[in-house]
Amino acid sequence: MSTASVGIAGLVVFLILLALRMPIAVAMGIVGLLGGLCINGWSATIFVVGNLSFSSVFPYSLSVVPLFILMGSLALHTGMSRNLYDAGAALFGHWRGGLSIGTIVACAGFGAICGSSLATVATMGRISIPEMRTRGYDEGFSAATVAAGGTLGILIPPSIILVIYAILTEQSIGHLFIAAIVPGLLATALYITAIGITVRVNPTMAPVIERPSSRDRLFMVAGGWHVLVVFGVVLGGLFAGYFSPTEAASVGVLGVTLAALLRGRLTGRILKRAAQETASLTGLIFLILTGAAIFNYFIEATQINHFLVAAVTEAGLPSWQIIIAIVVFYIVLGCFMDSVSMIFLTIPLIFPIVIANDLDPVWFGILLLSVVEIGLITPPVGMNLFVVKAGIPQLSMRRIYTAVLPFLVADMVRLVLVATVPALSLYLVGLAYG
Amino acid sequence: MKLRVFADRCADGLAWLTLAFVGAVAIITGLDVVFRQTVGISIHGLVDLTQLAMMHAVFMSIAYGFGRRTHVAVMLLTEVLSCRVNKVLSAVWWLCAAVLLVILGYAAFDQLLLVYAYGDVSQNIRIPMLWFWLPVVVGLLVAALASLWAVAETLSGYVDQTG
Repeated sequence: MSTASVGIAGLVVFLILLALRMPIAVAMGIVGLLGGLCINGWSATIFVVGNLSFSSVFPYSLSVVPLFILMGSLALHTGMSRNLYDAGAALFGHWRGGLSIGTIVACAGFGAICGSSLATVATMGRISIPEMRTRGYDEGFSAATVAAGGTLGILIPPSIILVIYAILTEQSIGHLFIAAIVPGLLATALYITAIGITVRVNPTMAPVIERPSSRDRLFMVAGGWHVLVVFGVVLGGLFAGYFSPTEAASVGVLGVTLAALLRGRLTGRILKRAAQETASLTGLIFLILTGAAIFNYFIEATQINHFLVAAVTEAGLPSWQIIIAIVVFYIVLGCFMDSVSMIFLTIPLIFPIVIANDLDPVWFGILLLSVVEIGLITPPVGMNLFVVKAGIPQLSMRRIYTAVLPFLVADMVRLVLVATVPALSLYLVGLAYG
Repeated sequence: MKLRVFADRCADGLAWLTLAFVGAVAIITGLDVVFRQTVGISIHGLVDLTQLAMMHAVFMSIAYGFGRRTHVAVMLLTEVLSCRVNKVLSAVWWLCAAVLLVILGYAAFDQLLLVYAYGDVSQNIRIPMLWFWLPVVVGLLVAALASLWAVAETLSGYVDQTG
């Protein structure tokens, strides 16, 4: 049996294990280990996997991951999201659809300190959906707004997914964070446009509500100061070159902790929840990282990634066709796989194709992030849709699917813009780093 | 029941340890930034200390992940399978995980013996590399134990099959 045949057999077994619901990290580890044993034998494989368990965690650059997770966890549990929502609602609530716009703006703000889409959806859903329901907003529309807004959690830096992409592809985390700023703002603007068009077409979705006094509005907007300060320091420090990503994340953790202390929000119970969440997500990501490293060792041993690159190169496809193929591949995959696993699993196969076709790796990272983000709200299995549905059990999935369509259109417009105008991602990087 | 309470407390202990190590990194890195910007000095060996703390934090968190079964899986075929088949599959997967973790732990232990024999040390402040490898071995073996515990709980019907 040739190594390529072993590689293909390994991929098939891996897909079967996934379909039978084996945890993704375990499936990657088992297939990688057994495949490695088949090709290289016991001694060599044990030597390599022993080293991989260590080297998948050891690099200094990886320390940014648990730090950003802790920062997001603390922000989540110390009530920063409530202040953000109040600020958003105070600014836009009196417009038609204004509470939805406020929710999107609050999600964007929370994404700037959280980095996780599901956490953003779960948090903002708890706060904004009851509020919108009380004000007579359509429930499906409210749920779709939160599901779409939640995707900003991974698009607006700092983003855990971008950190993982940077590590896997050996790109600069700082460059990727800066590159994601404009697409993140563009996504926010397009979602707001989608809300505006939706409520214009169907005004019953979102009634106009009374405008609070200017004093109240100022007070509520000022309540979000701590988020602005933390975000400003973290990204401003990175942008200005004062901090490395690990330093920015550390300063972010200390900033969120300090803000919580000043507001009297840091209790033992909250710390315990932050500890559990940080441990849970850190363990999950690093186990997948280790499993993916073992799986990639197997893939490298079989050389099927090189065959794939050679096949694509020989096909002589122009870059735009390759990009379309990759985008479609990720949208389909995103229908049944979570974003972190998807990136770990596919980057070793896809990234060599990107490099072989002279595509910019930073721009591709942002494009990839945009596609992955769309997968989170794509029916029938977009993860964010299920998270909002869990908060409103009486709401049918069909209503959520229908209501999320305008946001999907907005996502598609952004995807096309990011794909066709690389300057949207790269201009700021050039400005900051030359 | 007592075992279950004990397992819960162990898991919580691992989460607190993770928080302590990550928090320590945030504090020393934050101090380093402040010192560098104000008095122009850096904390010597910061990178080594960060890596050491992260090795402990990450492997404690991996063990915690197995203790709390916080893993990502794809729901594709199993929804059409019966509850009993799902239960058996779930137990088999946790057993596979335990076997994988034991093999990884064994492989890491081999490497630990090597770095101990060679007397390897870290780059900046010469911390013996043994202290970097120890959490790998311990974390993987605790995770293997947690996996076996998951097998027992799954077969006893305690664990919700959807969770």
